[in-house]
Order: sequence, then structure tokens, then C-alpha cells
Amino acid sequence: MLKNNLKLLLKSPHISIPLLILLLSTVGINLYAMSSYFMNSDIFAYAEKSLWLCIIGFIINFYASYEFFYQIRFSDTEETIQSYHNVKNKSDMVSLLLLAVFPFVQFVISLFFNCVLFSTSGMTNDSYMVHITLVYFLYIFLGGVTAVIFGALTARKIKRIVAYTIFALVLFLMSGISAFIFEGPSLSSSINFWQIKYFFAYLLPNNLNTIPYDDYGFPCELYRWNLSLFWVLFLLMLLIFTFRLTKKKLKIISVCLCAAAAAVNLTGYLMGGSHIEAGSGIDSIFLSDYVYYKNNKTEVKQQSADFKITKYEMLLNISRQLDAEVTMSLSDHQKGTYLFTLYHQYAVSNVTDESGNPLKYSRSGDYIDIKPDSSISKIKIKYSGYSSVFYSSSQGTALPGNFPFYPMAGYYDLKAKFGEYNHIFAPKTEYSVTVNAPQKIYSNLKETGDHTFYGKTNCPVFAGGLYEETDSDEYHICNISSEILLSEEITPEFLDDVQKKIDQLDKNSGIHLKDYYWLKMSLTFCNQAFGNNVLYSEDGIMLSSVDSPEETAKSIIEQKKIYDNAQ
Amino acid sequence: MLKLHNCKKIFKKKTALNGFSCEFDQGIYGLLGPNGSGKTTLMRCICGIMDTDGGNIESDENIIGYLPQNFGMFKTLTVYEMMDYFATLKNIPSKTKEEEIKRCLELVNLTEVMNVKTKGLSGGMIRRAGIAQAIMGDPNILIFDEPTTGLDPEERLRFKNLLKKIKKDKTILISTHIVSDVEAICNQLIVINQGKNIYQGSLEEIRSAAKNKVYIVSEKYEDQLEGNYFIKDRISKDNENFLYVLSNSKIKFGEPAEPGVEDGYLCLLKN
Amino acid sequence: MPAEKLIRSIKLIQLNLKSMGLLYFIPYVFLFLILPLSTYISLTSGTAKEQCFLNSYFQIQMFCPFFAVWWTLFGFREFSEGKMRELLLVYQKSILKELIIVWVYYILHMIIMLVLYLCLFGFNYFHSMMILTIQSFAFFSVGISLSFLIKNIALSFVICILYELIGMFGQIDILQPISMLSLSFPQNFFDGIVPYLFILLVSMILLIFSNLFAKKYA
Repeated sequence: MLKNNLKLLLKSPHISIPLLILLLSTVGINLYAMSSYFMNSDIFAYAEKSLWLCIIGFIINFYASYEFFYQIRFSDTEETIQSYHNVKNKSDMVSLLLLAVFPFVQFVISLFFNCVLFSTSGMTNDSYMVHITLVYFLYIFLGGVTAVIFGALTARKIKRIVAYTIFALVLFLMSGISAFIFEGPSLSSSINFWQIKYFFAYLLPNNLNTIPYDDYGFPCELYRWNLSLFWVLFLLMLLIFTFRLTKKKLKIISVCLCAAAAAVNLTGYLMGGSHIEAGSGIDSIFLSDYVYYKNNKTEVKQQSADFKITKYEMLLNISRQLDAEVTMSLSDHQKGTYLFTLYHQYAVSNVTDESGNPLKYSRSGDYIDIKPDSSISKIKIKYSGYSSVFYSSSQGTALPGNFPFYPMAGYYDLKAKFGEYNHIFAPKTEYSVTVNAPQKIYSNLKETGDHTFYGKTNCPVFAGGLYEETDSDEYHICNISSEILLSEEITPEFLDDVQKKIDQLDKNSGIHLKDYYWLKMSLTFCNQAFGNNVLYSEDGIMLSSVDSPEETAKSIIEQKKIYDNAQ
Repeated sequence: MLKLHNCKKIFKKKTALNGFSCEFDQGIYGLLGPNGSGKTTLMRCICGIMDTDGGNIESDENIIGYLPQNFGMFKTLTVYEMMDYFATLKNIPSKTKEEEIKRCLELVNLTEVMNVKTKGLSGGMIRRAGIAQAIMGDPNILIFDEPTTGLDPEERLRFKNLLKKIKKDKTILISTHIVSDVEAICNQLIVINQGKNIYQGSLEEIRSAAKNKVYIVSEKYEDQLEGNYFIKDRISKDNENFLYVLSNSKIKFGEPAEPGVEDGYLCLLKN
Repeated sequence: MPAEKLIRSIKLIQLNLKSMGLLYFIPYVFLFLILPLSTYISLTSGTAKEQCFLNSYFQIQMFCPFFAVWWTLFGFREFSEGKMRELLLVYQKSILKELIIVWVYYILHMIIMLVLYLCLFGFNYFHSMMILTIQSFAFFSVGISLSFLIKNIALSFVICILYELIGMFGQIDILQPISMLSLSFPQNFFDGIVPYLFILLVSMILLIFSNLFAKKYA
């Protein structure tokens, strides 16, 4: 049956030629992308170009599937085949599998090129290959399979021009071409109409013109997998529903199984999760907080705490989002209200004392007020959520300690101005942190065991994603893997130059770069988060650019002064 | 053996089959009925393409050979490849497939065009290919839906001869509204109208339904015709025009004629 | 008589477009509803007028030329493929005249849309009329030519969509030479027109050639 269907497919030039062109394009685009990689050594720029295959594949796979099944339906052969008890359905399933081979071949070809690139690039971080494999599988293969099933389903039931109209509409919603429709209404009403677009658009990587964060990679969070699987299962369920089966029980069971699995994945998608939305949606890194603070004119407060936190014990679970349990040991125990700042997107579920007794609390914007009835020595807060800028997802983590991803004593004004966050530096204290995340986590705290960190600081930083630590006797450096290929990483030599510049500019700065933990962050993240290229804290420096040792030295000196004043 | 008991099929507002019952043994059955009487629906139900909305269909056989009214093939495949496609779908074992395809193509005289693409075949050849796929696998029940429509006299004769060749130990059901075709081939006739089996019997029995109801009347008496009658034909003979009339009541000025199968069929329908 | 022939053509066009049913109105939805509405919402939500003007110009370029294929390809699909093709070609070997009339009819809609923009928002896009017309003609020519040559409207439509999404909207560097998108608003009617004249010439040659091919190998 497979052989016959393959013969039919290959002998239908209006289907086989576009599929052949698709496969040739896959090779061609990968070769072109590779050539641009060899010009500038940017591995992500290569991958970004090769991901254009997703949209081409989606279109051609839908077309091929629709035309193949349409041909069977309207060749006056269908009725004959239908008389061969249940064979039509088997034949259709075989045809589907056959058509699904093409997205698979695309996936394999793209992966092959990536493997070649990876092995010749000198990159040592295997996580990159794992990440790219997952991205390609999600968008090229699953996206292509969705198109195939969609084509088969519409061919069974819908007339030609109606089917292509629906397809054009879906493409319109999926591509960035429709962004303008959702921008205006979402901004003016603050209702997130983008969710309608995302429901279709997230089948493919959106914003193909935007290079992703190099430490984060392309978006392939769990909820995107949920969405892709939902569409595959939902369309498959509808397709099975259109089958005529003599064994009705089999049909009902199949439909129910698909429906249940689709429902589970839909739930997973609706649960959402931390992600980086770099477009113009109101949940994007550019607009999310802007819209929140514009619409929720909560009072901005600034007030020091009248208590001290001597120790933080944190359990941070990172998968779809951050699920945290933070226990704070308090000194200068007092009755009265304990004031904390915790970013508004983290929803507090539970506040208890050292004995596990619930404590009264109130939440208003970024602030929590906890009102115990008696004196307490510890407060434990359970919360979960995510920030659109300081992500914490299954594929990456960026939680710098100057951002209240954990409760900070006192009230702080979080936002200085649109697009940047205030640097908040809590007093130096002890941290004992366990981080459970799918990716390896890097921190300025000392790693004491499996996923555990310990140290004293006033700015605990946790970063995860496509990083690797550089071995050096003098410096502790953590770089973004892909930037090492571009020679944009932090090197000991660079830091030596920076140190020299610092010493030249300010002999009494007291800055010894060897004392710091160095973390390279992407430029977009730093600009969005901090408004500049350097985040300085007492034991760690996050840096986004290594272009100029002099500029870096100036920034460090300036940031240190700001930091010292804040203390 | 094929048994249909009280079969019903309803499409939105139209009842295509309205309690159709019938039993088919070995032999060639003709299914006669006007357009829209439910012939194609009945055949599709027997083949399992559609489910009935009531009643049941019993059959000893798993495989049914079916030639639909609109039979087509994939234009880009050759005749042999198309047969191979059908043979695979019919689960004909690979070892015997080639032999079976050649046997069936030989029976329908398409061996010479085996390697020709189906888009190069004439209408008659396509229909013959359809017959070939229906008989592949040697099913004991064969259903042909208007197999001779659009065929030239030679093709129709060929079809009749083919049926005579293959009819042994088989139940063959042919639907048509060309009575002369079934006259030559069928043992039994079933008349279907408005989804019901209104008559089942031999050719002789159908003819007898029109006994004493067929008259040849001179055209000059046309105005005098009364009651329930039907002018089947107008004939010219010896420079005079005559009417071939079916009438329930006796026509005094008409000459009785020997009824044919078509007359019996028309009488059953008009009654 | 020429007038009779024209009336006959218009009648034929009317019947063909009527066969599209509700799908006939899709270009109306985009030209007269979605595009102006998005401009209106953009203006009222605080976007600067100059920015809004440019954004709307890009949006017009995205959609207006593409929809030039809609009526011509789908309305006259039976002449390219389908069971009626054989019969229709007996009565009319070439429908190029009717297709061009439909294209002109579409351009009139575009003009009305630009008038709407002028009246509602004060945005005068008439300097870009030449560019928009040539872009529309290019899409029209490619869509129709492909349907004549490969006798398949779906593939023609898919190729137009691919070009729209990747060639024009995608702004991929390697495809820049074939992108018709005008990145800056022309200062006058003929500003920046030279590359588009080349596109116009190629489109016309393609259309004539494909029409001859279709007539000969019907």
C-alpha cells in the first residue's frame, strides 16, 4: 500500500515537483545559511536563516497533502476504494504517513547540516545541539506534520477555494504580517488580543527576522510543545472522525484518546509559562511591564525595612515558570508589619512562620505586607510565576539578584523608567539555594553540591541556558557558548586589559576584577533589563559587550559608584 | 447469498431507501428503476460505502466487487499500475497479484493497453478497466451500477459476453435504466421505485405485468384516449402514424400487442 | 460591435465572480475594513501621524497587490482546471480580455480605498499609485500566467503566497533583488519608478507568453 501510494505521489507532478523543490530548498537554504556562517561565525544567524524552512515547509506540506487527498477524492476512484471494506481508511493513514516523511526528511537534512557545523565550529557545549534538535523537531517536523494532517482533513470535507481561503487566513494569522491587527487594539484596550494570534503563530517560530538571545536560543518552551501537540492531536481527532469505520468502537476509542490527549496539551498551553516575546505584543519584553504599570497605577513606594534578613533558604523549581519556596531568617524580631518587595508577576500562594502556621498578608502590586500576630523568627513564602524580561523557563534562566525575583526586605521602586529596571541592592546576607532546573545553573554563589549553592552576597545571580564556564586560574568566567565562536566572550586577556584601564582611570577604585564572578549576558537582555552594558554587584559583574576595554572600565567604575552610594 | 431486510436510508429531507427488502441467490439480477429511485444508494449500502438508517444487510461474503456509476482512475498511472493499486487495496497476495491482474485485463480485453497511462483511454476502455478491478480477487458478489451507460453497441455487447463468461457461482447485480441490456443478460429483475422493491420476478413475469395492456392505436384516435394510459412510442408505418400505448383499460379502437419487458416495467411503475 | 462585446464580457465576468459566493467579498474585508480600521486604531492609540502614515503604507503594499489575484484566479478557476474547462474553451479560447477588465476593476477598488484614506485620515497615498498598480499587475500576471501554464490554480495561489510571505514581507537578504516592497514613500508620482518599469515589462511579457501558450496547447 505504501509502495502504491508512493508511486501515485511521485507520478503526480503537480505534487511531487513542489515536494522535490521543498527538499532542494532545504538543502539550498542550509547551504546558503552555512555560507553566511562561514563569513561571520555566528552560529545562531545560521540557525535563524535555516528556520525559514518552517514556513516554506508548512505551506508546501499543506498544499501537497491537500492536493494528494483531493486527487483521490475527485478522481472518481474514491467510491471504488470505499467499497473495499475499511481499506480506504488504512490507505488514507498510509498516505498520511507517507506525506509526513517529507517534513521528517527536512528535519533530518537541517539537523545534518547543523551537526556538520557544530562539529567544525569548535563549539563545545552539547546543549546547543540538543537545543537545535528540539527546535528543528518542534518547528520543522511537528509544524510540517500539522500541515499534512490539516491538508488531509480539509481535502476530505472542504471545497478547493474555501480550503485555500482558510489556509491563507491561518497563514495570515501565523505570520508576522498580521501583527498590526493585534497591536493597536491590544494597546488601546489592554486586552491581550495577541493570544488569538499566538494560538496559531506559535506553531512556527515567530519573528524570524529577530535573532534570539544567544544564551536562550530559539523559543521552544514546554507550552509551545503543548500547542504543537494539541494541533496535531486535535486535527487527527477530526480526521478520524471523518472516517467511516465498520468497527464503531474502534473509532470512538481513537477519537476519545485523541481528544483527551489534545485536551491535556491544550491545558498545558493555556497554563503558559515563562518565555521571551520579542515582538510588539503587550506581553513582550518591551511592553509587558509598561502596560502593567500604566494600567495599574499602584502607589510606588520606597521604604527601608525595620528588620533584617540574616539568611535566605531558597528552593527554586524552574520548568514552565519559577515555583519558589523562600524561607527568611529574621533578626530584630518585632511585632508589626514586615514589608517586602516581590515582583508583581509572582503570585503568592502561602505565607507561614517557622512552625508552619499561616500568617496574614496582603499583596499590592510589587509589595507584600506580612502581619504576624506574635513575634516570629522566620517567614516562609511560597510563590510562583514569571517575568517577561527576567525569564525562568525550561530552556533558560536569567534571575539577577538586583531584581526582586525573591522577597526583598522593604519597599523598592522597581521601575526607573520605561524599558529599564532599578538596580535594587539588598544588604549582604547568607544564601543557601537549591535550584532544580532542566538546564545547568550558573551562579556567583559557590556550588556546594548537586544543584545547591551557598554564599554571602547582596546580589545572588542565577543564570541558565547556553552557557559554559571558562577555565581560568585567575578569573571565574561564564560565557555564552555561541559568542565564543564570535570571539565575543569574556576572556582573561580582556579582563586584564579592563583592569589596566581601571587602574589608569582611577587608582583608588579598589576594584580587583579577579574577585568577581563574571557572567556574559546578551546585549538585548542587558539593555532591556538594566539600560546599560554592565550590572555591578559586590561579588559579580554581568557584562553584555566586550568591544572596548576602556568603555567597560568606565562603566564598571560608574556602576560601582552607584552601588556604593546605594549601600 | 445476499439478504436485505427492510433497508432504510434517509438523506436530509429525502428518503432514498424506504424499507427495501430482497434476497439474492446465485445468478444475474437486473435492478430497474427510474432516476432517483434509489438504485445507486442501494448498491452503496450493499457495498458498505454507506450505512443504512434502518433494517439490515446480510451477506456470506467478505469481498464484493463493485463498479460505481462514476468510475475513474488516476490519470498519471498506467492501466497495469492502476490494477496493481486496486489489487493491493484488495489484499490480493503479492505472489498471485501479477497473474490475477493479467487474467482480469485479458478477460476485459485490455492487455494491449496495459502499459498505457489511463488518461489515454477511451470511455469504454475505462469502463472495462473498472470491470477488471471489480472481478479481481474473484469475489462471489458483483455489483455494477449502470455499467453500460455511455458505451457504444460494441462495448455493450462485449460487456454482456463478459458477464456470461464470469457468472458461474456468482451473484451479480446490475442496475440500469436501459431495459434492453438486462433483457439479454439477467435471470431475474427487480423493480425499485421511491426506495421500495415494487416487483421481483423473472423476465416472463415482468412481461406478464403488461399483458392485455399494450395497444397499437392509429394517431387519429389520439384525442379519444381516456383513463390511465401512457404513450410509449410513435411509430410510422406505411405512411401512417401509430401510437404504442400502455393502458389499464381496454382500448376498443386499438390493436392489442405482445408486451415486452420494458412494457411490463413501465406498467409496474405507472401503477 | 465593440460595445456589445464589452457588455458580453462584463456579463461573463459578473457570472464568474458570482460563482465565488461569499469568497468574493474577502478583498473588500481587507481593503475597506481591516486596513483602514487598523490605521484608525493606531492613530487613536497615540501613534505619531507620520509613523502611522508609513506603517499604513507598508500594510497597503502587503495586501493590496496580493489581492489582485483573488478574483482573477478564483473567479475564473473553471477556465484553468475543472470539468467545465473543456466545454468553456469551445466557446472562448482566451479569457485574457476579461481578466484584464477584472484587474482594472480591482484597481478601481484600490483607488476608492486611497480616497477613503485621504478623506478619513488625511493620508494621501496617490503618489504611490503607480507603484501599487505595477505591484498589483505583477501579482496578477504571475498568478494568471501560472494558472495558464500549469493548469492548476492552487499551485499558482501557493506560489503567490510564498512570494508574499517570504519575498516581500520576509525581507530575507538573499531575496532582496526580487522583493517588490518599496521601503520609502515616493515624493511624486514617478519617484522610484524605474525598477518597477522593469517589473511591469517582465509581467507583461509573461502574461502574453502564457496566454499564447494556453491558446495553443489548450
